[in-house]
Amino acid sequence: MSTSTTPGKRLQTFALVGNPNSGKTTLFNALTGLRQKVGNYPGVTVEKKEGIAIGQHGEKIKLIDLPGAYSMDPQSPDEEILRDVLHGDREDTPRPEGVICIVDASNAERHLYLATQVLDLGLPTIMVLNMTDIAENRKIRFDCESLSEKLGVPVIPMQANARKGLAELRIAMSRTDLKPGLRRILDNLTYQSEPSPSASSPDGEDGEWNDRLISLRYQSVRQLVDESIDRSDPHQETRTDRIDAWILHRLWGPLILVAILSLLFYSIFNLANIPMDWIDEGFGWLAERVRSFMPPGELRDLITDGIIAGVGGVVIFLPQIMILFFFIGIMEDTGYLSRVAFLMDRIMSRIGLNGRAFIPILSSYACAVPAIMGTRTIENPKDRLITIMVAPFASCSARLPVYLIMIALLIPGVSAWKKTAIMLGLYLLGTAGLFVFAWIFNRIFRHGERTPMIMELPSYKVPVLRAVLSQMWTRARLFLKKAGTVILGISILIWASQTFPRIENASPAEQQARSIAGRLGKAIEPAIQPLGYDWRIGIGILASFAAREVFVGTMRITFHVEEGDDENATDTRTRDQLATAKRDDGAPLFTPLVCISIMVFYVFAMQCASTLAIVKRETNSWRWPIFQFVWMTALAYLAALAVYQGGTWMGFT
Amino acid sequence: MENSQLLSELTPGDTAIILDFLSTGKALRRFREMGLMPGSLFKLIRRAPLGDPLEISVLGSLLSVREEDAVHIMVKRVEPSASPSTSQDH
Repeated sequence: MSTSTTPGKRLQTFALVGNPNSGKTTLFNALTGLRQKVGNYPGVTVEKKEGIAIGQHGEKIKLIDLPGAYSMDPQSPDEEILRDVLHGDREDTPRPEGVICIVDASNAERHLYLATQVLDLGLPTIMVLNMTDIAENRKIRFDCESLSEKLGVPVIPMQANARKGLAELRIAMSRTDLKPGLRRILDNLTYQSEPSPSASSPDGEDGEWNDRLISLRYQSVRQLVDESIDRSDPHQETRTDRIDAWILHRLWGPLILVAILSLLFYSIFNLANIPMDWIDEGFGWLAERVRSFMPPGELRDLITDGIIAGVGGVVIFLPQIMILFFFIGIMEDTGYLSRVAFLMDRIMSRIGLNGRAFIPILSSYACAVPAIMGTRTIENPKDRLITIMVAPFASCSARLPVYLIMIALLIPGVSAWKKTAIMLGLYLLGTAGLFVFAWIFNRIFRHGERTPMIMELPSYKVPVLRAVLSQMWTRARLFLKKAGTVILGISILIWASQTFPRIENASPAEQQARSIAGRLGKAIEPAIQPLGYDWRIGIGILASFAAREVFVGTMRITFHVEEGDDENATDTRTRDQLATAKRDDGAPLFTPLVCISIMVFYVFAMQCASTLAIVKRETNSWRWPIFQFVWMTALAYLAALAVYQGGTWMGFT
Repeated sequence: MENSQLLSELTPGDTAIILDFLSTGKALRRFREMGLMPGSLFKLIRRAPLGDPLEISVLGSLLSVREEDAVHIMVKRVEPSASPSTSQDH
C-alpha cells in the first residue's frame, strides 16, 4: 500500500466499482476491448473479471471489474467480494492501487452513497459520471469541477455506451498525481456522531447505529448533490415512464412478455436447429474423412467415435447457448429483464423463488446448460442455488427423442392427440418435480428465514450490440472450456466401455453385449429389474449419463437397427425392431408399462454430463453436482419403481 | 399517528413520506441503503399485473418492493405539490 499511494508513480491496477446498472460493464468492455479474462474467485460463486486497459501513453493498466454493489456493507457474496478486494482482504486478489468509481448521473444521490463509502477507503480514486446524456434529457445539470473540488478526486463526465469520455478517463488513469479523496463525508460523519458505537456493537443486531449512519451519509450526499447538481425540473415524465406504461401495463405487459418469449423459444428450438444440423453434419463429415484416411483400428475408432463424436456433442450446444445469451444480453442491457422479474415475481414467489428465476427456469425447457449459466442474473445466492438445483427437472429437448420413441412404442397408431396427451403429461410431471423440489429446497436452504426483496428497475437503454455479442462469446468460450473438457472425457470413457474388450468378428450388437458397458449393464440388471428393465435397457441408461438422447442410438445398436439416410424410415425401423424385442423367456420386452417406466425415469434422472459440468462451474464446487446427480437419479429410480411395481400390482403389463 | 398508513395500503399514484419501519434489525437495511428511510419521499407508481410486487419511485430510481415487506413500512400520504427537494424525477 505505502508505495502505491506515493504521488509521482503511475498506478498499475485499478478496480472498477459501481452500482448495478451504472454502466460499469459497458465501461469495462470499452476500456479493455477483448483483452479480458473471466474466472471465479476461489471458494465462492462470484465471477472474477479482469482486463487490460491501455493508458494515454500506450501503457498497460490492469483493470478489475468488481461486482456491482449498492453498499460496502455487504448483503450478498458479490458485495462481500467488493468489500474484501477493496480492503485488500483477499489473498487471491492483491488490493487494487486505485479505484474508478462509476456513478449514474441521472441517479446521482443513490450512486454517490456507495461512491462516498468507497472514497472513505482512502485509495486514489477517479470518479466517472456516466449516462450524462440521460441526465441531460432529464434536465439535470451538474458541475463536474465543483464536484471534483468537493470530493478531491477527478470527476469525468462520460457516456460509456457511446464511448464518449473514454479519452479523458485514459488520461486520468495515466496521471501520476492521483490522490485519495478528501474523505469529507467520513469526517462529517465522525464529527456528527457523538459517542463512538464501536465499543458497544460495531455490527450489532440492533443495527440502530448502522441505520443512523446510513441516514447521515445520505444527508451529506444530498448536501453535495444540492451544491453541484441542478435538477431544475424533477417532475417531468421520463422516457422510461412512457415505456413502462406499456411494458408493465396490466394487459399489455403480460402480452408483450408472451410475444417476446415466443420469439425466444422459436429461436432456440427452430433457428438453433439450422446451425446444429451443420455442426452435426460437419462432425459426421469429419469422422467420415478420418475413416477414409486412416486404416481401421482402435486408434481410428478412438478418434472418430470417441474424440470427434465427443467434441461434436459439446459444440452442438453452442447455438442454443449463444441464442439464449443473445436474448438475455439484450433483455439485461435494455432493462427489460428486471421488468420480466417484476411481472413474474408473484408466481415465482409461490415456490419461494423470485422473479429473476423466471427466464432461467423457462430456458431450461430448451436446455438446462444455458439456463444454469443464465442464473447469474439472480442476485440472491440461495435463490440462485435453488434455481440451479431444480432447473434440470424441466423437460429439455434432449429428452424428446427418448419420449418420442417410447410413445411410438406405446401407441403404435397415428392417434396424434393421445401422443400429445402423453407428451404433455411428461412435461407436467417434470414441472411438478421442479415446483415441489423448489419448495422443499426453499425450506431446507433457507430454514424459513425471509430476506426482504427489493429490486431496482433500471432506466431503459439502447443495448450496445458489441457488448451483447462479447457477453455471448464469453459464455460460449466458458462453456467450451469448462464443460468441454469434462464432456470430452466422459464421451471417450463411454466409447471405450462399449469398445473394449475387443471381440473379433463380432456384430456390433454382440460387441456391445460383451464390452465393459454390456457387462456393466448385466451387473446392474438385478438393480433395474424391479423397474421392468433388462440389461440391454441398462446399457442405454448407462450411456445416457453422457447425454439423454444417446439412449436412442444405443438402442439401435443393441437391437440391430440399421441406420439409413432417411430419418423417418430409421425411426420406424427402430420402433418396429424394439416392438419385437423379447426377454430371455420370450415375453415382449417393451411392454406399455416398461415404456412408461422408462419415460418416468427420464423425466427425473440427472443424465447429462454437460449439465453436471456446468453446475460445477457455476457453484464452484463438486459438492452440488454430485448431490444433484445422486438425488435426482435416486428419485428417478424410486418413481420408475413405483410405476412398474404399482402397475404390475394393479394388473397392467 | 394521524393519517399514517401502511405502504401496502397506498393507491398507485400516491406520493407519501416514510414515517417508520415496523420491524427492526438488519432485514430492512437494504431499503435504507437504497434511499428508503424515515423521512424519504416516494411515489407508488403501480402494482404488478398480478397485484404484487409494488413499484415505487424514490431518489430518481424505480424499485420493486413486495407486499410482504411493504406491510412493515409506515407512511403518510402527502400532496405531490408539497414535495421537498428529496422528491425525484421518476
